[in-house]
Amino acid sequence: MKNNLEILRKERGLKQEGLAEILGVTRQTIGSLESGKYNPSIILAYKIAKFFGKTIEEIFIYEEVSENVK
Amino acid sequence: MLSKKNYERVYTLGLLLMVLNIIGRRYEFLNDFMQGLTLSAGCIMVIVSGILLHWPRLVKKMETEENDERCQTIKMQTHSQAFFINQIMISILIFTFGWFGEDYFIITIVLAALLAFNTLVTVILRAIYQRRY
Repeated sequence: MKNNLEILRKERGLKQEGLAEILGVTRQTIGSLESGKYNPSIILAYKIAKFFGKTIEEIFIYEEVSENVK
Repeated sequence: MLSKKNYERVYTLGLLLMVLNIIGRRYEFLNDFMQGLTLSAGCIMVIVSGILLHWPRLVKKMETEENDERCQTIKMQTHSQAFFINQIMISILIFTFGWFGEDYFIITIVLAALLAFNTLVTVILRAIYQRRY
């Protein structure tokens, strides 16, 4: 799942540490989210969307991967 | 790193060990080894957990990690994998001691009982969580 988290965070002039503190998570979690290594739960996705004043779909882009495509 | 709650438990356990040591000395039901063990373990547990629980930066980190779903997922995955490896190691030891012969019979039985107990606990917990979720 792709996301625009890094762009939105930089637009706000926030560092990973700052966003992590606001959301109550570790800096490593923000890094993992931005790199797409970790997909958040619906609750964390909602918290992020609420903080940036956007919908979850505007931040997180779900890409359906076909099993035939490798 | 343990969670804040677990450090609090370690602190309480350390205090209980020290109380046990005092009562043991008073009524003389602890042997020398147990007196030394309860005192040293109790002191170490109280001092270490006491220092860590009064370290503001560390406490804040512990609280953040407790609320961080990614950290919780990592913790669960780690425990799950470690438990699986533990089960395999016990199985290997059962066969190893079984191979050594009758002198090690009791160790084989104890390890096999431990493996069976672990498996039983896993099955029960699975049933409980399947009902809950």
